[in-house]
Formats: sequence, C-alpha cells, structure tokens
Amino acid sequence: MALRKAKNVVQPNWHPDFRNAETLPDIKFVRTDFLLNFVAVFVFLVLLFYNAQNEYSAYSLNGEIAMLKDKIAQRRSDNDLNLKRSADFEELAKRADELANFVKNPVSPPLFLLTLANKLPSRNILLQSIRFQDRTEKIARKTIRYKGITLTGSLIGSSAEATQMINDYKQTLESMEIWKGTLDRVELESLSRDKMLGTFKYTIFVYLKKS
Amino acid sequence: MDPQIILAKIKQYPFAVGGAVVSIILIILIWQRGGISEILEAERDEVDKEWTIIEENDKRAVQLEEHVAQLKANAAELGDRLMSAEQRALNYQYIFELEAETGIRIQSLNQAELSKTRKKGAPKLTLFQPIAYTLSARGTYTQILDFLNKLHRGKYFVRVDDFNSSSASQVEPGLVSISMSMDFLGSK
Repeated sequence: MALRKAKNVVQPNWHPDFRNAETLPDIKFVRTDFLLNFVAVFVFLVLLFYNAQNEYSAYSLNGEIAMLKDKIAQRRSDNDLNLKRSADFEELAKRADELANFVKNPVSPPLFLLTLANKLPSRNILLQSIRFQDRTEKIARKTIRYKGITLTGSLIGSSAEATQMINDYKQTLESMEIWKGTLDRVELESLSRDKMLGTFKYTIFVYLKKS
Repeated sequence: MDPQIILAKIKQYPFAVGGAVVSIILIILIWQRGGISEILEAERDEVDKEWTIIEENDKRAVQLEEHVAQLKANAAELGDRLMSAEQRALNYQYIFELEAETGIRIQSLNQAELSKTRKKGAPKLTLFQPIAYTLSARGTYTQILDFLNKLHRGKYFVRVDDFNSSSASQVEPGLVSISMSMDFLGSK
C-alpha cells in the first residue's frame, strides 16, 4: 500500500471569539479615512468647474446671439430694401444683357464696307460682291459655325501679277484694324482664269471668330 | 441601515458627504444642460451667417440705388425703341424714311411672320422677340453705306444676319445692289 499524505482536517474554532470589535482600540498604524474628504471635495470641485465653464459659455453665447439678433433687427429694413433693389437690378440687367447680346456682331457691316472701300490695294483688283453669312465646317466630326464674309471679284493682269495682287489683298484684309480680335483667318478659296474676259476671278472668305 | 449609524458617518465625514451630495446635484445639472453650449453654438453660427449675409449685401449695395435708377431709365428708353410686330405700317414707314433720307431705292421689303423657332446662330431671346425683315435695294456705294449706317444708329435695334452686296448690272454702272435679312428687336 502506497504512502499517502494525510488530508488537512479543518477544525472549527476550539473556543468562541468573544472580541467586541467596536470597543477594541484602533490599531491601524497609517490613517487614510480622512482622504475620503479630499477625494469628495476634489470631485466636487472638478464638477463645479466643468459646470461653471459650461454655464459661462452658454451665458456668453446667449449674449453674442442677442447682440447679433439686435444688429440684424436694426438692419433688417435696409437689407430688405437692398434685396429688392438687387432683384430689380437683376431683372433689368437681364434685359440689358439680352439687348447687348442681340446687337453684338463680330464686325458691323457699314464699318466693314467703309473700311473695305479704302483698302483695295490696286486699281486692277475689282470687288464685285460682298456677302455676310454664316458657314459651318466639320473638323473631326465636330461642326464649327463661323460668321464670315465672302468677297468675290476679278483681277486684271498676268498670272504672276494676279497672285501677287491677291496675296497683297489677303494681307491687307488680315491687317485691318476693325477686326479687334474677331478675325479667325482669311482664306483664298478660288482664283480662276476667265478666258473670255482675260481676267482672274477670285473668292476670298474671311472667317470671324464666334462671338 | 440604522439612522444612528448614518448620522454618525455624516458626522465622521462631513466634507465627503457634503461633496458627494453636491456632486450628485452637479452631475444632474451637467446631464441636463451639458449639450446647451452645442445648441447655442449652432444658433450663434446660424445668426452669424445671417449677419454676414446682411453685411455682404450692404457692401454689394454700394451705389445700387443709382445703378437701378439708371437701368430703369434705360429700360424706359429701351421700351420706346422696341419694334412692334403688329405695327407693320409704322415699321415699313420707318424703313422707307431711311430710304428717302439716304437716296437708295428699295426694291422689296418684307416683314416675315413671327417664328417660334430660333434661327441658327441667332442669339437666344427670352424677354424680347426678333422681328425678321428681308430687304433688297439699289444705290451707290456711298448711299448704301449711309443707309446701313443710319439703320444701325436708328431708333430700332437691328441685327443684320445675312448681307449680300454686288455690282448692280452693266446697264447701271456705279450702282450697287444689296439684299439682306435682318432682325429688329421687338417687344413680346
């Protein structure tokens, strides 16, 4: 039979405990009960500070709101008047804008005709027709609409003189001051010989930028 | 618990008990009014925004009164310069007066019926309507220029959409013929 450690047997008190804890002297060496007061007061102070801060902030915000509301009330009638004027202005400005848009033209026909009359570079170049018209061009599947002016006429002279004259005329057109940034380009579209009359017929197209 | 013991504890820890009681009251207060600052801040921001708008409006309104008055005067003048589509006789008379003044000879003049569709490239009009005219005429270059000039500086606002000018014919040297389509600005 193997040896076994005997089990601890817990015995009940072998005599009754007659100590009266309340009457016994306090033998606690370090006293800590008084700390409870400090903790409670500290918590109280923290809460009081937080609450006071909260209330002060509310008080100050209320003051700000009241001041702003007062200022708004003082200026309310002026502001309403400003808004009414602004609405009137917008309505009237819309009419003015629409009018400006209506009369806007890249170049005024009378001004162009007047300028052109003084710009023919040679007596051998005749202007027969001027046409203001819109033209569309397809570039990479995109249709571009141009305002433009077609000039047709005739030239008297040899082929060398004709090409020189038309080139000068093109440059003259390009350098006219009336464009003021509205000119896109000037293109000579055709220059053909009229065998019957012994002259050259030309067609020039002035491309104007879309306004 | 025995009230005697409670009383004894209160006497034993007066600050702790007092602090705890007031702390409980303060916690209730914080719980009740803790969010008041956020609410007031939101209200302040709202009111402040309104005030900023009023100030901005005030800044933008400098000379607004004068500008509105000026625009009103212009609008009144503009009203007088709008063509009326119904007053065809008066409209024709206006153009024939220009003919007489400049010496050109009008060969055809036609006011088109009002169209609801906008011509390609024409400006969009919502407050006015275009009154379309076609005209063909003859005259010297100077007369034509004078006519166009007077037309552009005349009573009614005009926009020339298509203009064609060419030498009239061999029979009448020096004369230029024009054909044009134009829109007058009309009232709606």
